[in-house]
Formats: sequence, structure tokens, C-alpha cells
Amino acid sequence: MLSELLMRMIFSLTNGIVWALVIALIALGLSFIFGLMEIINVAHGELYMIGAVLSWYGLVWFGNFWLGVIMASLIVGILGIVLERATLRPVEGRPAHTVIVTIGLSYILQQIVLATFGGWPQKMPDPLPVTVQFLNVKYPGYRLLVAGLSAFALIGVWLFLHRTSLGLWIRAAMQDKEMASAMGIPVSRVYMITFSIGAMLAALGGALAAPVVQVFYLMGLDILSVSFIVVIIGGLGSLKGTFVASLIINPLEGIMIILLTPTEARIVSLIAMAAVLLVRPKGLFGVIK
Amino acid sequence: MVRTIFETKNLTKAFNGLVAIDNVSFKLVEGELRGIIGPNGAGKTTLFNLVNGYLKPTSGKLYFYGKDITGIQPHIISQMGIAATFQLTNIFPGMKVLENVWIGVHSRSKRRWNPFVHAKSLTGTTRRSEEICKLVGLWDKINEVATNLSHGNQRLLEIAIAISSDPTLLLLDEPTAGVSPQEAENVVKVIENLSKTKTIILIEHDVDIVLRLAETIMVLDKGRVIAEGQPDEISENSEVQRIYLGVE
Amino acid sequence: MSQRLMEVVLRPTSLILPVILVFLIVMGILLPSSIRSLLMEIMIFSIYGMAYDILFGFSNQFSYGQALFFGVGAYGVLLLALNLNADLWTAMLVAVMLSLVFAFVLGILAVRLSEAYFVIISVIFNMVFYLLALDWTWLTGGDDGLTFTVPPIPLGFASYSVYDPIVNYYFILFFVIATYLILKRIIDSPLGKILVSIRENEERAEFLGYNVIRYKLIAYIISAMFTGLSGTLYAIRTRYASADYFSLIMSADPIIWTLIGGAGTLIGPIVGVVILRILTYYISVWWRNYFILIGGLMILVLRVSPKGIVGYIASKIGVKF
Repeated sequence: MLSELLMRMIFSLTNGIVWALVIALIALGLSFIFGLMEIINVAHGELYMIGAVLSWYGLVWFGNFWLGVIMASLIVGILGIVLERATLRPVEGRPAHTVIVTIGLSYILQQIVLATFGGWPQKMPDPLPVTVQFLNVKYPGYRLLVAGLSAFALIGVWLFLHRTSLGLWIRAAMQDKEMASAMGIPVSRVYMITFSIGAMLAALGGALAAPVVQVFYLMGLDILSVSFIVVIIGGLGSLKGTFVASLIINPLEGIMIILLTPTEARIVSLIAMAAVLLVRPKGLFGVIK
Repeated sequence: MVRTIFETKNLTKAFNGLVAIDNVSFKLVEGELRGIIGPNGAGKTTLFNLVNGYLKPTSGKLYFYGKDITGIQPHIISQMGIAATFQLTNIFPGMKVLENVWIGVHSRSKRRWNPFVHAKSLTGTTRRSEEICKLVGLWDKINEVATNLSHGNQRLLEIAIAISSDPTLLLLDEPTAGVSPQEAENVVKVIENLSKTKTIILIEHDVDIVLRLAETIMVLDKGRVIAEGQPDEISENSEVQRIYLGVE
Repeated sequence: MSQRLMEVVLRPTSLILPVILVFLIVMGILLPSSIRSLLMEIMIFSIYGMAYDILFGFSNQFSYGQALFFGVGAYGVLLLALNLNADLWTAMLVAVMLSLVFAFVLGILAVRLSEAYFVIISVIFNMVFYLLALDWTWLTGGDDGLTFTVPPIPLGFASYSVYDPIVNYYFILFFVIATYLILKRIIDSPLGKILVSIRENEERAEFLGYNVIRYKLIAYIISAMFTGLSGTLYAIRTRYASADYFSLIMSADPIIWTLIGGAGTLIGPIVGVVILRILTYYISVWWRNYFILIGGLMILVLRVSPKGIVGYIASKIGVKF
């Protein structure tokens, strides 16, 4: 039935927009980590996954989902600092080596979760079990809440970048490291904080997404793919680029999944990503070469 | 008959509004040794990088043996017979000294990427590489890994690599920078030798060396040629003296 | 004095390799079948590892997507034998040629990219092939894969069946030896020296007149062809191929071997394969999460000795690669 197809499309489109906001949050961290430090963080999906796992534990131990979300973000933020100092600092500047280190990290993180949390996907109860109706479509209220919170977080990041001195330092270092250092900006501390924030955003995304997608130790793999697609197409180090790219790619993929298969939809996105890389590596709004 | 082998016409290079090289025109005749001097930031190295193809000019043209080489890729410019040393030593660190030179010599051979023969079987190339090592005075270090050499020896290797490709036009960027006086003397002797068969452009901070070696001298300041002529003319030039007041 | 002795003994071309070679040739018949089977796997992956070293160790192109060519090789030989009834040599040859063609097309696009973008695009290319393999189940059998009957090896008037494990063993051994000899010759040749110079200082090589992009492409294609070869041998040995042969885990393997064994040494990846396959074989039985070890090793080796085990030994005894 045509109207049924239309309703599925609206549902899917809304899903796409919700998901786009969550992905924008996650990809933003990746964009800055890659753009500023030339770190290709293959373990970014695992940071998202750990965020989800920790929010699950938060719910199980403290009975409060939102407490778990905050807990997850903070813990992973600290984890980010540790990881950057201990494992990534020595290889910054050599993207190939950062890949090796982060592959290793992703293996370790996956196995730790597998050993403790287990290998079975876990469902979480709906934190906001209401349904919202619009355009003849019934839509889960929690997902709209997630979209709102993600948008809120994105605005927060924007304010941080453009209204605080730390944010200014990050943007300056991204434009020109040497100049920033010469101006007295503590570049290595900026690196550490950027990685920490990036990790925190990924974990926040994971914690918020957990009730929707189920918690599973391999849930980071798909996220990694789509995050990189968004980062490359949107452009490195650009909040606007990540936002716009995510809002284009995710709903589009969502619609394509109805018409094609999920794998085919992803292939289209990947080809688009390759095209951007080959023709205009800066992406849509990239600030780095 | 002396002929012009190299020429630049109205060569200009600007970086985001900062003009590094401003309307520079000059000609080189075959066998000439031209020195370029000037204060820091005058644009000497930028000029080099325009000649060896590392940078593309914002406007203006370069000619080599009459052919327009403006904007041509570096490896093709090298194949045409132009070679340069770099101010910051630019050698092959993990390879031995002989191998460093070997790569340069080999770049002129016909079947370069031959995967079938053992490199050692190319005795002509090896012999020529050894000759060049002897020429610059690195014969006793021939099997040293390049990164283990002293700074002075690395500068010598830098020159050896530049001449290994048998260039017609050789660009030397501060070849004696950071070397001991004894080593600098070696370098000067090598350059004197080379000037018999090659056309050379020499950037040097040490004005004495330039006055000794060069047949013509060009003085750059803020991207412009402010004086050009024979060494004694230049040392008498009041503009030049004003710029170098206090500097050497 | 013992330093000199060590240097002579440990130099591959003098003693160690011939000894290992004789060992492998003789042991083919004597070994128990489980060890022989493990050795076959080690040998096949050694080819994969050596091919990766040409790309990463010798021309400094870090790819996280070589499984693309591994899968092409595997499916090449399988599909030709299965659907077109090709004989074994033809099937293998076509599979390797397919790797060449894909490497040429993809390489032209990828090789000119900088280090970071080259990695990323290698992943993209790999993922596209992987997803296609998952999706086009009519061709590849998707996740479940396809099995096939391996045609016999025609040698002169006789023909030998790979279903005899001893035949399979010597078949693979032949290709490992051939691969090592060919790649060693390439490394010692002018082409090899040029690749090393590109690794040591790409810019300077360019200024000496070498068209660096062309040489990187040559290295990329050579690496892909031998990767494809290892894929064909793997499919022949397992009589099977699935989309997993294209997976990113398959792409990570040669990275790990080369890293641990030592990049730029040709034998380093072999050492890496041996260590890791034996580790996996024995440890995976009693520790399910042994991948933590592998992850930890990757991070540690990069810190302690970026040139891997072989590089470490070489620096201790003064041998240079």
C-alpha cells in the first residue's frame, strides 16, 4: 500500500534524523581527534560501546538510567586521558602507527567487555515509554528525547569551542600547530583534552543509544564505519561539516535501506566517501589540508 | 660561444599575500658559477625551490636550454639535468653512504626499475658511485649508515647525492652551513672542481667563500635583486654594504 | 668474536634459511598430520605476510585492506574451478591476474594519497568488496561461503590430488620458496633499491628524477599479486571461500605479523606468522579472550621495538637490512 510505504518512509526519515544527531555527536569527537592529532582512532566505536555498556551497568547497579549516562561519559572521558597519554602520545604524527595502536586497543576493549559483560546482546528498558504521534505516524518518545539531548550537546560543544579559551586553543592548534605553540598554547595538553572530550562524546552517544539499539560488545563496528564516512565527507575538524554531513548521510541511508538492502546502502555511502577523498579530501567544510 | 642555458623572466612567488620573490629576472651562461647572497628572509631558498620545481611560481617563467620549464614536476626537472642540495639535510637516512649516491647515479640509467638483476651486478653504476664518494671525501665512510654520519659529512653526502645525477645545472643551498672550517675547505675545493664542468648557483651565508668562488654575484633583499655583477663590483656596492653592515 | 659468529650464522642467506628449508622438505612426510596442517597454514600466510612487507616495509605504504586481494585470489580460483571447470593452473593464474587488474585500477586512485588518506581508502575499498561479497550470495555464497572440488595438479603426464595432504603440503611449499626467491630478487634489484629510497626519503627520490607514484604503484601491484596467490592457496587448502576472506580481521593479520616480526626484512613477517599462528593455535584453546594478548602485543611492540623481533636482533648483532 502506497500510504504504508509513505508512513514507513516518514518513520525511517525520522529515525534517520534522530540517528544523524547521535552520530554527529560521536563523529565530532573523531573529526577533531583526526583533524588535530592525525590519529585515526579505530577504537572510537569501542569507546561508544563502552559508553553503552557502562550505562547498562549504571542502570543495573544504581537503578537510574540517567545516572548511568553521566557515569559512562565521565568514566570514558577519564579513560580517554589515560589512553592518550599512555598509548597514543608516542605515535602521534604517524597515522599508520595510530591505526596499529588503536586496532590493538579495540581488540583489548572488545575482549574485556566480552569477558565481563558477555557476548549476548542485552536489551535495556525504555527510559521514556511514551509514544508521540505526528503525520499519522506513531514514534517512540525516547528517540525524540535522544535527538533533543544530542542537539543540546552539539550546541554545548559549539559554545565550548567558540566561547571558551580552551575551545579557542583547540581551534587555533587545528589551524596551525606551530603558530599555536609559538603563541604559548600548551599544545600537548590541548591534545589530551581533545581526545578526552572526543571519547566522552562517543560514550555519551553510546549511552543514549543503548536503549534503542541494544548493548552488544561488537556494536562499535558499524558506528566506526558511519562515523568515518561522516567525518571525511563533512570535513576534518569542522563541527558544521560533521553536522551537515551526518544530517545528509544518515537519513539518506535510512531511506536507501528500505529501497535496497542495508549492505547496499552502506556501499553507496562508502563510494561517496571514496569519491570525496579522491576529489576533494578537505570534505565539505574541512579546515585542515 | 657562451650560450645562455638558464633564464628566469619576471619570476614572482607570493604566499598568501606575502611576496617572497618579486619580479626576479636573470640569465645564466654555460659554466657560470653564480653566487646568491642576501640577508635572512631575502628569498634565496624560495628562489631555489622555484628553480628545482618544488614550488610553482605565482607568475613569471623559467627556461632551461630555451625550454619553458615553468610548473613542471620535480622529477621531470631532475631528468632534464637540474639538481639541488637542500638547506636542511635531505639524505636517505637508513641507507649506506654508497647506496645514497648509487640511487642518484642510477636515476640516469635507461632501465631503471629492472626487477630481475641484482643491483650489485650494475658495476658501472657502483664504480661511478664510488668515484663520487671519493670526490667529496667520503671514501672511508662508504659503508656507514647515513644517519650515523657527522653533520659535516652529511652535508658532503648531500652534495654527493646532488652531483650523482650528473646534472648540468647544480644548485647548492648553503653547502657549508654548520660544518667545521676544515670541512668547509673540503666543500670549497669540491665546488671549485665541479665548476669546471657544471653551471652552478650557490647560495652562501659566508660572503668570503662567495667572493672567492663566484664569477658573478647576485644580491637579494626582500625578494628583489638589488645588485648583480662581478665580485669586486659587488663588494664595492654601497647598497650591499648598507645591507651587510654588521653582518660579517 | 662470538659477535662475528652470530652475524654469520644469523644472516639468512648463509645458514638459517637453508637449514629451515631442508627441515621443511624432509618433514613433509615425517610430521604428524596436525603439525603438518599447521605448517601449511603458516606457509600460506607467510606468502601473505611477505607480500605485505613489500608494500609496507619496503615502499612505506600502510594499507589496512589487503584482504581485498586475498579474497579475490580465493574466489578467483574457486569460481573458475566451480563454474567454468578450469584446470588448476589456469584457475590460479586467472585469480592472480585478477588481483593484478584490481590492484592497477585501485592503485592508480590510491597510491597518490598521503599516509592517512591512503589507509582510509584502503579500508573503504576493502569494505566495499566485503559488503558486496556478503550481499551477492548468488556469486559468493555470502557469509556461508561456497565449497568446491579442487581439480588435480597437472604436472607433465601425471596429475596429483591436493586431497592428499602430503601433496598439498609440497604444493604450498613450492610456492613459498618461489615467492621468497622472487621477492628477494626484487628487493636486491634496482627496483628494490628505488623502493627503499622512496621509503627513506620520498621527496629526495622525487628530486633525483624518480616518478615516485609510478614506483609506489608497482610495489602495490606486486604486493597485491602475491596476496592473491596466498588467497588461492588458502582456498585450495580449505576447498572453501566465504565473505570472511574479505574481512577487516583478515586485513589486520599481515599488519600484526609484519609489526611483530619486523617490517622491511622480508623474513620478519614469516617470523611474525609463526609466532602468531602458534600462539593462536595453542592459546585459543584454553583462553577465549586471547585477543587481548594480540592487542597488547601490537601496542607494546610498537613502543619497544618498532622494527619488530627481526629488527631487534639485527640491531643487536649489527646486521643491516
